[in-house]
Amino acid sequence: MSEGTVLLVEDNPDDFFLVEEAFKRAELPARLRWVKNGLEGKDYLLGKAKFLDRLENPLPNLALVDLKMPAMSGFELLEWIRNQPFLKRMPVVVLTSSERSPDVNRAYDLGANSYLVKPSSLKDLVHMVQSLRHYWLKLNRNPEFSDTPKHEHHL
Amino acid sequence: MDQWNNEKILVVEDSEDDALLLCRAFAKAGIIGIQTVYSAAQAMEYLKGDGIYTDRSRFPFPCLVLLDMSMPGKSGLEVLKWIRLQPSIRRIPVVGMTSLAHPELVNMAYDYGINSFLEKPTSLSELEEAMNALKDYWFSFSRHPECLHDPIEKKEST
Repeated sequence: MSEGTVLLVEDNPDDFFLVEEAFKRAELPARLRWVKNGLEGKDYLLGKAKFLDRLENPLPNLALVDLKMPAMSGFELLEWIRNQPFLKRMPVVVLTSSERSPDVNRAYDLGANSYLVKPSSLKDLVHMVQSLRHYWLKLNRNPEFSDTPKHEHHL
Repeated sequence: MDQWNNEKILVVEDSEDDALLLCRAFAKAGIIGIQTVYSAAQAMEYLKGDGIYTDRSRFPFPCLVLLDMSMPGKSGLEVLKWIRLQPSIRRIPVVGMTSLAHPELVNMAYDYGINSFLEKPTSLSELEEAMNALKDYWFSFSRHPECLHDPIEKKEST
């Protein structure tokens, strides 16, 4: 049974390949979609440009976002997401090689749901992906963040 | 797997029975650093290090807040809003929990900046499994931001 879609925003093709491989080895029943920087991530989430087809490019249950990217960084994308009417609720997990505290702090300040550091071995990445799947795709209750949520609250 | 985070969790839960079950599930998952408070007011006092919670060696600042979102008067949401407005502790990861997660409540919690939202399983074995997964994800993989340990200026007590 499908557990939905995970959007990976990552400029490095090698890192995409490793994450894709880890998803396969962890036997993740989720679809992994890949965009190469924050600008493409924005287009994907808006269903614009080459991502018009929502069947092919569904809104993800979870976005995994790298920080250091050309065109638009992960920080900028996160800030943009948190300022969109409904999209702002979408769970965003940072996936980066930076272990620097200022980066961790800034990511949480901008509204990241969690912060993961890329492990150096594929074996450890598989373990991380398994934990991520169990927590975010099975245990966590997602908000509604499509353009037309069924349940709207009034503040 | 290296563990870089101390497993210090503050459980905010108004039902003593539910708090007891959670602590039991955490103990089975091997987490011992649990502190429990039973109301929104106590949660704020604990996080500020005020009142009976001034001694940080006895009441350490947590790495994660597990917040019951079905406390009376939407006070779970109030605690969440309050945390996100405190400059020095606003980053702390907060995981919400209810036995019945109405979409409206879930949406609101994310709008106010909850990090994750869990539905309390009904059986003890499922609860243990859930707390195990929580421990594994938040304490073996996810990095935590820095929060100041005694961040809020306290008035001189006279």
